[in-house]
Amino acid sequence: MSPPERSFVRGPAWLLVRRRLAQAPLVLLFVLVGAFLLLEAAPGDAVDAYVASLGGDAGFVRELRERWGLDRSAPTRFLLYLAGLATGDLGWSVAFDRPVLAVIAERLPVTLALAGGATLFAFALGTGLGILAGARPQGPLDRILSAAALVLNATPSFWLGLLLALLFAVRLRWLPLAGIETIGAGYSGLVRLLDLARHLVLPVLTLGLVYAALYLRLMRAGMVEAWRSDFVRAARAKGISRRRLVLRHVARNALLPVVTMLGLQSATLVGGSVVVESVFAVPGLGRLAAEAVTQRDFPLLLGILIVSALLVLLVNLLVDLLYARIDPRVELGARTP
Amino acid sequence: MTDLLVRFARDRAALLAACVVAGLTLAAASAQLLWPLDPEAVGGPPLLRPLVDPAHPLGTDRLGRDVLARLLHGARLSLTVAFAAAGAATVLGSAVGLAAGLAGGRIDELLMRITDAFQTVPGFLLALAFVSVLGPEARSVVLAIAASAWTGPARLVRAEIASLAGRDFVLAAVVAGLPRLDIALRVLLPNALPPVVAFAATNVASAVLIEAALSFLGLADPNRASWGAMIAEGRAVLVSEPWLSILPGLALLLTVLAVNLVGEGLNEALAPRRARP
Repeated sequence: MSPPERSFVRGPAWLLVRRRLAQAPLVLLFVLVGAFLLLEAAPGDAVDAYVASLGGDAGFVRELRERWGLDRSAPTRFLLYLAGLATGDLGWSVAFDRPVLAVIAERLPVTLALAGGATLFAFALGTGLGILAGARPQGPLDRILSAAALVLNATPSFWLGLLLALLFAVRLRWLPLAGIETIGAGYSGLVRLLDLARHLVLPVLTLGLVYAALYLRLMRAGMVEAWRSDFVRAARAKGISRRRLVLRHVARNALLPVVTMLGLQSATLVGGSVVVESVFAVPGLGRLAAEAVTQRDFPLLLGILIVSALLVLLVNLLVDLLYARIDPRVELGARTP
Repeated sequence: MTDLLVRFARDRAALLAACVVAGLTLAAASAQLLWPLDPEAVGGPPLLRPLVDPAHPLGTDRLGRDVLARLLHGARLSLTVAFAAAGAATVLGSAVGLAAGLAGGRIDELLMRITDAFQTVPGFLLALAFVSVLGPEARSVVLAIAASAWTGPARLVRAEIASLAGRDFVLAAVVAGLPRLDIALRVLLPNALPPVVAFAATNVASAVLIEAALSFLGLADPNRASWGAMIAEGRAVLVSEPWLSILPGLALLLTVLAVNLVGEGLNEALAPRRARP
């Protein structure tokens, strides 16, 4: 008899994916309304900030207010903003004097590379070490790894970044201290890519290490739980090798909560990139957010809030799909002949 | 309650961590008595190294301000903001969770989608937006942190209410004819709270980190000593005088670690049936 074919349509997790998809528009609407209302409460509007930074007389102020629709009522402006959003128009950045979308689009790839790299690094290191720790709970290796994870988990990322920079960039001179590429080097092609990667090593390490600690702890906790479960006892009774037992049965089941956490952490990852990008002067979305705040560029800040919320929704959906794929529980009742 | 304390005290790491948190709180509260130097006053030569001059045991910063005094006052700001933010988040979140769990139906659906929306926007970005709108005072920082931290308690309380709803003692209160509000506040809420209390510790720890990150970025009140701002100030002389950034970072690390351990201890003490490995 062939093993039952696993298609993720049958897993209970698939129902979750469908529900999330159905809920997404409402959630997004609340994000839009909330972010709009919040920034509406700020003292002064975009024109004030624009004139404060670039100058202009009263006539110019009036004209600009009209052009940006700031002379209309708040509900009207919200509807106009929604209409603009539908056509990919996120408004005008006051600080950069360019469309918000263009500014964000320029910075987004860097943050995606940073956050993606940090996630890969954290996931690989965290689950790998977590399996080592969880293979023999309370063993000497577990004690060391668990204590290290506990400390790392409590470490402020921007401080860790400074220490890593001090060690690897200043003392050892192995890696560049800041920025995203060697300025004025005029690299192109593969050399430029390598140069970019070299600049991203420290930011990725900084952002990733904290999450690696989290995944290690989750993986270990899941494995401790799995060791006590009936199916592991049954597998043990069948006399399969310890290595196979740890990897195929114990670790596999502990992986599910880690995958869930991967999605849940996507929002904090974007938040964490703000400080890490500021430490290493990486021109990404996070540093852009800090710049938008200090320059009181509210249209840009609104755009960043919305784009990052969209990103988080998307990542969570992808993680749900991944979860549905690897979830070993199969909904038998949903199987159709 | 005594049961809980006994179980908590049996966990040596958690007990030690609780002592550290209590010690830090006490030191922060009595900063003036403990070390009467003014954290803002220029009281010595600049960039004095630690353990050199007994008048400034941890040295001085670039302006000649006493580092120990700044650390103690930074602890005060950090802990006040963190406890206030976690407290506000717990109260607000519990209220939302209770309302959603009790009302059910459309109201529940609406409240949970709002909760989703708040969880979809990265918490630190939301905090940035709040601070930029409300200003850099400690009060706005508290609100900014609570604005994203309330979602956890809300989900927890809602889930607890759902699991409590069919229990006998709740049904008994209904049959006894207790007013709905009494059932909500006197029967359901106290029973739903224990996991929320343990979660509050997690919120305190992350609030400490968010406050530090905001002040590191220069977005908090520049006139008050704070650990994050101290790290940022030390950056300018990081290569020659690294201790100026390292000391406040260690203070942050110790605080967050201790609070996290207390939270874990509470969690274990509250769920005794899940035996430790």
